[in-house]
Parts: sequence; C-alpha cells; structure tokens
Amino acid sequence: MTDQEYPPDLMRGWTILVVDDHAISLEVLSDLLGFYGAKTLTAQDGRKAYEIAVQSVPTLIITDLSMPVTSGWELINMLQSNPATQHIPIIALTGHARSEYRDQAMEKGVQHYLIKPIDPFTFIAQIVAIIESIPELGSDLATRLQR
Amino acid sequence: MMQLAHPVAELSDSKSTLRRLSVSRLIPPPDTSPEENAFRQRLLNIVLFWAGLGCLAIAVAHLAAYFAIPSSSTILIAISFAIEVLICFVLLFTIRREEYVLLASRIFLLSGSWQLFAFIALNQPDVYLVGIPGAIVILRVAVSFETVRPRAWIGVIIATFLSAFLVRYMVEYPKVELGDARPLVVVGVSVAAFIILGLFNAITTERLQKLLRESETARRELAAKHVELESANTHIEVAYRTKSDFLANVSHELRTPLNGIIGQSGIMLAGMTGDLSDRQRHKLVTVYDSAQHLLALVNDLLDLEKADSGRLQPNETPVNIRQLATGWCDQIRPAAEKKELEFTLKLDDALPEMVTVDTRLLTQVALNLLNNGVKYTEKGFVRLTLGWDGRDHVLSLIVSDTGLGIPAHELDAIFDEFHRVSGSSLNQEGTGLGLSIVRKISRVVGGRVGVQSQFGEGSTFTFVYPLGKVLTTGAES
Repeated sequence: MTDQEYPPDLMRGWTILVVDDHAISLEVLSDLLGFYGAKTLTAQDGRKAYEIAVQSVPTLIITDLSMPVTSGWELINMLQSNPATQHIPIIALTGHARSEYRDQAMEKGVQHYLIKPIDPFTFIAQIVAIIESIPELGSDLATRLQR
Repeated sequence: MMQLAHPVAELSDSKSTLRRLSVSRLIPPPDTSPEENAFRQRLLNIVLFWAGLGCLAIAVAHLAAYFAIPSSSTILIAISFAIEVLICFVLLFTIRREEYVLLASRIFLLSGSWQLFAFIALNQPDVYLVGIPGAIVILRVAVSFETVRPRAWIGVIIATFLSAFLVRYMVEYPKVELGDARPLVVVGVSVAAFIILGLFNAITTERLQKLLRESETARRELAAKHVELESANTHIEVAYRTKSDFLANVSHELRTPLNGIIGQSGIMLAGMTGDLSDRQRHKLVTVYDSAQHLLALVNDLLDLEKADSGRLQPNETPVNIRQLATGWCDQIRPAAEKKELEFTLKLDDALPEMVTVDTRLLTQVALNLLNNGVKYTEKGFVRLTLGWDGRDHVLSLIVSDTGLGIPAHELDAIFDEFHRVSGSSLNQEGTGLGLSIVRKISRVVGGRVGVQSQFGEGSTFTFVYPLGKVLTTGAES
C-alpha cells in the first residue's frame, strides 16, 4: 500500500511545528512526523504558534489556515515580517479543496499547499516532494535519502 | 378638423415649457429619464409648429412676389428651394435621432408640398424644372427616414399635383371671365387646397406620432422586462453561489473528521503503532477504505458542482499525449493486475506527438472511465484506445471492457448522478458520480461521450474531444 519506503531517520534532528485547531489532526501529524524521527511541536492557534516559532525556530512549519482567534493567514504574515522567522519554510494544510482558494493562498505568498485529509500512505511522499524543492532542506534530505 | 387642432393644443400648455428652452436641452444625453424625454418631445413639437408656419409664410411671400414682380419670382423660388434641399440633406446626414427626423420631415412635408403646389398652379415652365426634381428629392429624403412611411409622402405629392392642376385649370379656363378677380380666385382656391393639404398633413403627422408613441411604449416595456430579467438573473446567481458556498463548506467540514479517520487508521495500518492481527487488519482496512470512499464522494461532489456552475473553463495546454496515456495506465494497472485482467493501451499511428488539451480534465475522464472498466470487469480485458481524426483534429478516448455490461434501457441513465446499473448493487465501490462528471466535462470541452454495451458481455465508452490545434503532427500522412 505504501508507494515508497522511507528510512525511519528521514527527519531526525528536525523540529517541525504543527498548527491546527483540531486536536486529532495534531495527533496524526505528530505521530507521522515523529515516526520518521522529527521532533514535533504543536499549537492550536496562530498566536501560540507564533510564540513557539520565535522561541524555538523550527526547521519547518505545517499550519492549518482557517483557525479561530488567530488564523493561519495571520500567522504566516507575522512569521514573514519577523526577520528571525521569515526563513522558515511553511506548508499550508487545509480542508479547502477549491482551486480558487488555492490560487488565493498562492497570491498571499503561501508557496506550499496540501489539502486535507492526510493519508499516512502518501503524506510523507508529499512532504518529501515539497522539501526537495526548498534549497537548504532539500540538499539535507537528499543526503539522508542516499544513505 | 380635430386633427388640425393638435399642434395648437400642445402649444397651449407649453408656455412654461418654452421658458425652459435652451439649445443644450434639445440634445438629450444617452440616459435620459422618460419625463425628460417627454419634455424634449413637447419642445420639439413647438419648434416644429413654428418652423412649419415659417415655411408657410415663405411660400405665401413667394406667391405675393409672383404677383408683384412676375419675372423675379422664379429665381426667388429656385433659391429658397435650393436652400431648403440643402438644409434637408444636412439634417439627413447629421441627425440620426428620431425626434429630429420627425421635425425635419414635418417641415418639408408642409413647405415642400405647398411649394410644389405653387409651382404647378402658377404655370411657369422653368419652375417645373426646379419643382419636379425637388419633389423627387423630398420623396427620397422621406423614404430615407425610417420613421416616415413612404406611402404618406406619395399621397401628399399626388394630392399636391392634383390640387395644383385643378387650380391651374380654374384660373385659365377660357369660358370663365375672371378679370380683376383673377388674383383673388387664385388665392382663394389655394387656401382651400392648403386646408385640404394641411388636414392631410395633420393626419399623417398624427399617425407618425402614434407610431412614435407606440415604439416608445414598446421600448419602455422592453426596458422594464430587461430589469425584471436582470433581477431574476441575480436571484439565480445568488442561489447558485449559496449552493456552491454551502457545498464548499460541507466539503471543508467533512474533511476534518475524515482527516481523523484516514489519519488514525492509516497510521495503524502502516504499522506505526505495532503489529496487527489479520482480523484487526481486515477491520481497519474496511474503516480506511470506507473513509477513502467518502472522501472520493466529497471530491466528486465538488467537481460536479464546479462543472455545473459554469466556473469550469477548459485550460488547454500542449501535452505529450503518449506520455500522458502511459501515466494513466501506470495508475490503473495495479488494480487490473490484482483482478488478473488483461490491460492494454492502443495508440492510433496517426496520433500527433503533442496535442493541446486540458490535461487535468482529460485525465479525470480517462481515470474515471478506466476505473469503471476495471471495477465492473471480473475476467477478460480492459483496453484503452486513443484514436485520432487528422482531418477534423478530433481526439477520441475509447475504453472497452469485457465486464458486466449495461442493460439497453439503462444506457442513457448511467450518466445521471448516483445512477447505478441494476445488479451491480453488491459493488460498493465508486460514488455513482464518475460518469456524470465525465459527461459534464465533455460539455465543457465541447465534445461528447457515448456508450455501447451488451449486457453481460462488456461495454465500450467513447469520449470525443475536438481539439483547437495540433502542434506537431506525428505520423499523419
């Protein structure tokens, strides 16, 4: 059922911040990323996520877009306007499947976009494909995959 | 005589109107209210009445000039007539508005017919030369104005000729000794003829006005209908948007719990939480597959709604069709091999290397048809054929199978939403929306989809996609 087997240390040493107001989504993502060796941090709203991001500067941020209080859009804005966090790659993960929504997100500077639900059998392959397109992380990943 | 009274009746309530007269108000801007237009119409009628009266005065002056200095009258008449024809042409070529046309036509109907009458009645051979071409010009101009009926003009001109000849006959009749009374008779008969002509004039203008009024009423009704339709259209659009937004929200809300089900069951099935017994695995696979089915349904509903709403526009880009088809087959082959079906791809030799298609839509069609083929076939083969009509640049995508087949009476219904072929109810896969999406896509790209089937022996689905252009022709001869 899995298209490709990835080494369990694929993401070792990486800190990934996962943001979603839905606790089960956070659990699924943490389990999946944790299985491949990543250390995961979680937050359930944008404000909290921003504080964590500033404090621990994660390798990667995966965030939902529509969240109560402080949305993913606002989080992205805050992260991008802070020199300490603007280099962190962000992947938007949303339940909005319409292409218009996606286009809107792209316009607002969201470069990486995934649609819910997460399928554990393909999610890692999707994440790998995105990371490969990010210069610094991509080369790091390539060496890990070669091993 | 009632008809004669109407311009005067209009005058009586127009004193206040006159006070508001200014040249700029005569030329209406594109969007004027009906009240403003009615005001302008009244104003024009007044101008028209006085202009007509002015022309009449000129004609009477001509007549007087004839009696006073007979030899000079010809030149005077010719000059004034030439000026009128000139004005007439200027009006014809510069003015396109209905009310101005009415104005011009009434002036010339009145003065033109009177002058023609005068020329003939006064029997001047050289005046004939001016008068007859003049009459033709008036007639021609009248016909050019669409709002004036040529029949009315021909009537006026015939009446003018007849009354003019009558006057001439009476004046020159040898047995009648007129003596000093001659000028009086000429003027008297002329006035009588003028009253008849004026009556005729009034009738025709009344008709014209009625015609104009009718066209104005029709225009207003049309405008009202237009507004009505526009508001109905807005309602429909709002309803569509509401439906579309509702579906988008439902889709979004469904995705969150689906994320939990697919995520959690997937993690367990992937072995991330430890080993599972066969029985546990079987149960979990059911959970996972059911959630995937529900997800497919949500996705198909969104696609269907999009195709329905008219928001779906084909986005055609050049693509290597052979590579694309191979890609589809790579996706479908595992499922076919699992059922031990023979799965083949056949490409027309004439197929160009690059074709300009909406890759996403064509892929959606191909995968839907191929998935159906594999799903409903238990033994035998599933075959994808790509055909090419080089003359009309039509791509055909044919999926044939040796599966369940479709009963003849259901061949049309299978393209409807949620329709399932009877006897296939045991098969729980699929959303029942695939073929209806295929049909909607076929409409979006300007093609069509059809099916041939023998119940129990297999089916052949043909999707026809007419292409705008081909980039490089392959083996096409």
